Amino acid sequence: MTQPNEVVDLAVALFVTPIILSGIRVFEPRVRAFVVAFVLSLLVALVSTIAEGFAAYQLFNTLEHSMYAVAGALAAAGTIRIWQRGGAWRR
Amino acid sequence: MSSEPLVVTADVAALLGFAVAFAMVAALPMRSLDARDSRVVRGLALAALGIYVFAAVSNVLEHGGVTAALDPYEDYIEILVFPLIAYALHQARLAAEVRDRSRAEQALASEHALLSTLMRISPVGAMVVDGDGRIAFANEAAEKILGLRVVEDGHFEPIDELRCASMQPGQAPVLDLFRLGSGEAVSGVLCAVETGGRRLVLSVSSAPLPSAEDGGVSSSGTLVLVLDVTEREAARQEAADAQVRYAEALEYAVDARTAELLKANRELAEANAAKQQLLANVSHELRTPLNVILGFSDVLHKGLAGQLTEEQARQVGMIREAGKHLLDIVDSLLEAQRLEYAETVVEAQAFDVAAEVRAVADMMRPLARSRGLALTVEAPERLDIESDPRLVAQVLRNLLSNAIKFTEAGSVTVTLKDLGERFSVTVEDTGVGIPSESLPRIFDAFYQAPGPGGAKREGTGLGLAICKQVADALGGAVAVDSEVGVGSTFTIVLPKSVRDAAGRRAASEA
Repeated sequence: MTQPNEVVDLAVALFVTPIILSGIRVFEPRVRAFVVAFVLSLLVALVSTIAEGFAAYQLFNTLEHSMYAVAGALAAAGTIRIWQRGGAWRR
Repeated sequence: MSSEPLVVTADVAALLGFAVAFAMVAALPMRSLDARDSRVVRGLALAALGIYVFAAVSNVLEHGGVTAALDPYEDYIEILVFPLIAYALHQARLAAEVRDRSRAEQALASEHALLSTLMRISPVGAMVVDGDGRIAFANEAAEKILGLRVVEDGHFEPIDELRCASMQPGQAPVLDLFRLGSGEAVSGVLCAVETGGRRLVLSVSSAPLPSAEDGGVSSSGTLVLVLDVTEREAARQEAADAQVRYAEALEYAVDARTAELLKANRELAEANAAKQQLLANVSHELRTPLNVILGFSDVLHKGLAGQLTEEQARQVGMIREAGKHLLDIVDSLLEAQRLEYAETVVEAQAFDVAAEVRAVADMMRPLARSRGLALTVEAPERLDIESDPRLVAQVLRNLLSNAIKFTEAGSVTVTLKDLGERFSVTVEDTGVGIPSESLPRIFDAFYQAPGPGGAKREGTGLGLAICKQVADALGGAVAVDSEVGVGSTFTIVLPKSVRDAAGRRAASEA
């Protein structure tokens, strides 16, 4: 069953996503791509969390956890990339 | 154990990814941000990643079948992730903007310091004239040059009326502050001004200043640059005056020298004319008694005035030969004088030059024979030309006479050659030859090359000079090649048609 906090999570996420996207201008283009992909994968995970309560539970549940895994991988890759370049900020 | 291994695997992967990201962010240097911003951004990012680490642990435990005790907490704190990320990015953006602004301010301050220093030490006076024609800014050089003083409201005012008269007649005063304030642009205009008791020459340039507020569309005053060029202009004027004085002095000197030269030239011409006149008169006056002497010596020699003894006949013969020789000299002098004054009139006519060469050779042959010389002629059967036969014969006579005169033994050979539009006559002898140092002067009038041992030769020294002048008159040239003890070769080359040669010469001169 869909839980109310999951809906609130998604609503808050959708509300602040434009703010996040407008803030990524401070990053270099390659880092921006990581951030956008990271945010999108988290949004997909949140949507899947809600969707699994209505239909195709197995599919959406797997998708949700896979998206978290993808987001984790992107976060790790992005921060390693920043480390290698000595910074993420646009010069 | 759970029946969802794929989900558990994904959760473990998520846990590892977020854990690595958490560790990296914790250690990531943020050099572009100051310490406070760095702490805030890092703290927010770590919080967001920490929540996902926690969520991943919770999921692993739940889906791994260990415990679902953390799940409720996970559901509640996950709501913070997106706001935390947004806040971290917002903070980072703010920090970046502050950093950029700070850099811009530093650059502006550096630029301002540079311009201020430039203005302070520049020898060029700089001032800004506003739209009301008032001086809003002036550097030290401008204050000094124009005698400016600061008034109460911070503007500058000239001590004396500032009207710099243009140095080009008819132009409006350059330093008219109202016109400059309206944005007038001038470039390096020279003007004269009297300020603070000094007379100055200024070079004035101006350009309207663009307004920073509206992207440079309107003007916020006019920048006026003033350079004191009094010394430079004085030096330039002095140099120009000196140049004029020098030119005048030079002109005067040239005029004086020209007058002297003209006078000397006139005197020389008069002296030369007198000399020529004297020569002509003497020669002419000599001819008459000489002819009388020759005539009567002929009469005596032929016995018309009575039979002479052998000794008397020999002496009369000597008188006759000496008279002929003297007459030759006088004739040569007259001819040389005529040639020098270009009185030689070329009377061109068609004739056979081969026949003329043979005739002259025949005439000279008795003389050659008397000296034991062989005189030979190598010439074509006939060679028709259009020239002056009298002058051609004269040149040939002179060359042959010289060759015979200066050849003790051997031969004299005359060779005539057809060279197309020209022909040549070569007189080659086996005589004493001419020293090489005498060759350049051999065609000069009255010059005689020294004989063997430096002995003076007989003759007037006019024969070869006449040859050269005649060759010139006929449009040709004469040349010599000689070696002492071996002989000499004189070659004269003349045009076949003296009229064509004269026409070509006139055309080339034109």
